[in-house]
Amino acid sequence: MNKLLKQIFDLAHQGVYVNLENLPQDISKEVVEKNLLYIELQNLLKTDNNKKRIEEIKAILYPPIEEEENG
Amino acid sequence: MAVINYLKGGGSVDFTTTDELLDELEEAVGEYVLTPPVPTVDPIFGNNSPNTIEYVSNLIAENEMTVSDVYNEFGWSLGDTVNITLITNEVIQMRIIGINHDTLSSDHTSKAGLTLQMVNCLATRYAMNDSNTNAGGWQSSKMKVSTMPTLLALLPDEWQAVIKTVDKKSANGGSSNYSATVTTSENLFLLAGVEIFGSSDSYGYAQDGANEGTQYAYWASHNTANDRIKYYDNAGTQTATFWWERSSHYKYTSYFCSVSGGGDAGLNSASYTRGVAFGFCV
Repeated sequence: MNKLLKQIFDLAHQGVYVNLENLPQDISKEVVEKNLLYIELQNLLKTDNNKKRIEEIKAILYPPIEEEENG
Repeated sequence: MAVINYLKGGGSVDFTTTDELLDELEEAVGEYVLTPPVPTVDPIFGNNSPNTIEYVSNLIAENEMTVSDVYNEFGWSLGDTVNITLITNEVIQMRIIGINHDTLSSDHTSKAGLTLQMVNCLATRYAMNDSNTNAGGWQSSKMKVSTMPTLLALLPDEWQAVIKTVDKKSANGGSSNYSATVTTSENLFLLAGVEIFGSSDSYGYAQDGANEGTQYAYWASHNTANDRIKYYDNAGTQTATFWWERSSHYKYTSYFCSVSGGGDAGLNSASYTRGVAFGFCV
């Protein structure tokens, strides 16, 4: 699992994003997708040349937190 | 240079020797066993490799060392940190929160020498479940069953190799009544409310919270709300956030417990994505 994931994230750091449809079932697709988005966000922030996409990713990764402290 | 133990004849004699002497010895006694080199332990915890940390952790467990023993022997203290670069290139910081605190699943008796927990949260947030339910508690949660194993795979191989499997207790969830806890085996885990807040009512809303473990020594000595604040990044420049506990809410079947962005006991709907600050044992 570790080797496959390392390949996926190494490619992402090079700006190549792989199709995740055939991920093995024991890998959480959600975890992989979110980390790919985070890597894409870091890549975009380096150049800051696609503000729309930056905001899109931030909206997915960091939706507003609803306060639920009392219960 | 190497150190060998001369085993033939029932004795055990240490030699410090050159390769030539090793050859001579082999010829003389016929067999010998090379002893793995003893790692050099750096008193700055974060300067040590996973293998060295495992070596020390095993000594801590075997010799039933206390917090002060560990400091006197190795210079390491509760709260000391080590950085880990995930295979995503995200850098997380792990902190010593317990010494001989957690029980190994291998025999349900021996201790893991060191327990570490993330200082801040992962940069990505996760839900406890896809829907707003705590039925089945931590044991059946998506967080434990699916998210944690994949997060474990994000750790470098040398860290995965030294993580020990330990027993953790958690309530069953899904009920407004207190229920018996179940014991599960964990590599990566979330802390229970009682392990953070202690034995008073301050662990808040945890179902059967008093039976989900005991407070870690680090959290006993860092017991203010400010101490419990966690951010999305290690530099502390991002927003302080809720971070999940593995404790189900005592009353509402849709909630798991959490620590709020202000460091107080909180609760969140199970499907909301919140901060993850996992722990593991070495």
